[in-house]
Amino acid sequence: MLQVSKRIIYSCPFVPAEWIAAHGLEPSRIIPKMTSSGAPNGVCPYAQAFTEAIAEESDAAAIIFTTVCDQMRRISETAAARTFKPIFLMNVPHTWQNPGAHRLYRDELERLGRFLEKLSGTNPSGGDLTGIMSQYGEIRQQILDSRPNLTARQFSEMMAAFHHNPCCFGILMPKPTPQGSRNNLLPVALIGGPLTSEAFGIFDLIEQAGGYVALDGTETGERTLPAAFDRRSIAILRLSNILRLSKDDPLGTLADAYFGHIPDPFRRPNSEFFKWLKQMIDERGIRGIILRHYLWCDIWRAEAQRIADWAGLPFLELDAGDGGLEPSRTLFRLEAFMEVITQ
Amino acid sequence: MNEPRIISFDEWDSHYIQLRDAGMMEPSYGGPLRRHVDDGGDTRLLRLRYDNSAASLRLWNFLLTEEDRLRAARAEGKKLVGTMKDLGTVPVMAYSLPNLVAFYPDGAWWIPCVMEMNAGLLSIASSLGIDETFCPVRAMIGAFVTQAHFPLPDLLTCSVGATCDDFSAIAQRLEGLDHPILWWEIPSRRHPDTNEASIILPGGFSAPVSQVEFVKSELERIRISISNLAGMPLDDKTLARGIRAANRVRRILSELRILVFTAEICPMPALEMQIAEMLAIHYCSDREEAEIVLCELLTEVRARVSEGVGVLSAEAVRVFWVNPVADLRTMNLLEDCGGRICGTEYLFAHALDEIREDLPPMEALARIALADPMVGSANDRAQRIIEDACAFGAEAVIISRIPGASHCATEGEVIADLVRSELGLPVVEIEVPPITDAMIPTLRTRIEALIETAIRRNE
Repeated sequence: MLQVSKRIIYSCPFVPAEWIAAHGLEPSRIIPKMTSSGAPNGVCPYAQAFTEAIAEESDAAAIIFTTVCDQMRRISETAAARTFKPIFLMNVPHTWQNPGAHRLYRDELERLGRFLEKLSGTNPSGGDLTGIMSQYGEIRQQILDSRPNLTARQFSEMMAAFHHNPCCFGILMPKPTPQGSRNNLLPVALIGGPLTSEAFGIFDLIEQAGGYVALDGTETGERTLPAAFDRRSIAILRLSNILRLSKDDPLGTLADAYFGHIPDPFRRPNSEFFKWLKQMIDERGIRGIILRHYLWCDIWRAEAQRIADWAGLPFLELDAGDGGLEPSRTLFRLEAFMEVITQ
Repeated sequence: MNEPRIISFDEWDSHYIQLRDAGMMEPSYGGPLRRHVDDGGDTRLLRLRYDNSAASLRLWNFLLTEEDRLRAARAEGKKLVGTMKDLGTVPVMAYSLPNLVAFYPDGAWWIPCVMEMNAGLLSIASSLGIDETFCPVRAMIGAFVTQAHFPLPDLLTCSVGATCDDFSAIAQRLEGLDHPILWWEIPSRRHPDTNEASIILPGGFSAPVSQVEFVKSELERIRISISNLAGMPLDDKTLARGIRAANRVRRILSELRILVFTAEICPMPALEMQIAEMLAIHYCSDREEAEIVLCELLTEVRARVSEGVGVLSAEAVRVFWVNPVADLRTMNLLEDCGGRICGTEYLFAHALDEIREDLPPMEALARIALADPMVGSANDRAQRIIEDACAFGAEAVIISRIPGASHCATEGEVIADLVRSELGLPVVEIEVPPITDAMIPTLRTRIEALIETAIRRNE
């Protein structure tokens, strides 16, 4: 019997996994591999890697791109020309300070819902959605709670694993490994765009150099988690939707948790990103900041110097080109950076 | 009418005296071109070649005196609105009110070319971490830092969303340097879903009604800020008047383009035409004068066309040009290689389309903003290019890549493929930095190859 694929692939943290799952589909925020052939001149290596990765994901039912960055918006056209799979381009507003932007995001979720319904035939009820929101919210909290018991790499990989396959995450949840002593390691923040699969080695290199990632502010990491849903509110929402007692709006709650919460430098203005970073620096006792960005990523690269000046902490900028992690060179730079921190 | 010719900068010295002695009437900002080099440091002018008409001289003088006009406007108590990125929508709103002057800070991207890097704007941008991997529009941040090229605006607006990352990132840095920005969202234009209410926009693209409504609500925010700045309401009646005035400029430009692009013998060089088109975006800080400047140019072109004279050979190959060039000299180069401009899409085709006057003004402006070729797909943009290239009888297409611009990374290939497959025209993609001198041989070879291919195809 022919099995119909239900997997929906995407890479942007502003796509709510809960909404896809509520439509009876499998959300899968993938981590691509860096391409071996390299990206054409001017093309972001990550955008290229994602585009090539989706071509290899034969079991995908559809692919979602967003407008969070111009390169991804535009490369969705290139991707569409290379695949017969349905592609959905979701408008994620860059502004956020007025209600219209929030409404637009919410409207886009509804449009995405219609796209997903065509694929699955499922039009989820409010109860369906709140159930999944509750379940995913609990898993995210478990992951966050496990942070002290995991190495930075394990923590980041656990989040990536959840995003890759949240439907089965409970079954596949990796076992925490005691992290060992961090007494002699320097707490640093790793910020920047999304990681490719080989880039997770950066966590090990940082530890080899004498530091540890006390804050994963990459797009793959904890920075881009949606706000925690208030358990009590979700429970009430769920009950009222099941019993059809009220017109409470779980999709609105979901939209707020994502659009109203995730700090990112692409947003205009991007002040909330700086607020978040300040708060996390204070909370985690961060001693230095490592920004890892892709070649041609204007959004992060333009902010590099500002972050360095603003934070008043030792700052290291790592440029990720087509060549992957480049361990020897990166380690050399990280070691020098740790020396600067300790001076 | 003096015999149309393309002349050098040096030739303009004596030619200016001849025109003046022959009774040329000049506006207050008139004068010989050389003063812009001697007093303003616009040394690139020395290396360009120009149309020899009085109308062209006025166009150049108008372009190169914008800073004076802005400072004069401020001295008169007018408020200045810097309208970043939207290319032709917010200026229409601002110019509807008598005590506002809009200008286009993005225009600073030509300063490194015109002043041949002597202004140091790109170095300032680099020192702030905005290096050469960004679009040359990074010069804008240098211009804000030096405050030597335009006065700081009283209100700074910027459209974001479906815009290039370069610009959005640079504008954000500007805000980080204490230049507050009123951001407004332009969503990525999409094709309407089945059964979704939709609208055909000026220029022929379609969009869902919901997107038009959203853009309208964003422009309403701008309207409030502009009204507050002006101290008077920008009501629909006032705005409708502003739209009519904007359309007058657009109509003149439209006739000018049609005449120049379709004439048997090219009546106006590519360089002057590019500048003329730029006036439609922001009127070079004086809408009424921009209209007069374009009218004079149109009068000159009409006379040349009716007499069957022009500035290039009748055999010049008709080239459709995509994207503006950071180095103005490139437009001369095309003509040196045996080409002529016959259709353009300089990123703002929507600013040349007439704004509907039979609609509520905010609705009409929202539609024109959403008709921006850059906020939709490269496929959409390519379709418009194809239609225009057909209409103007283009024989070849040049896609001029802007170094570092995020949209140029992928769209050139999309546009080139579609043009080749639908029109069968030869296409070449070139990259044009602010100063091309070191690259002229390479650019020349590529353009000549295109021209030769087009000629062989016609034989």
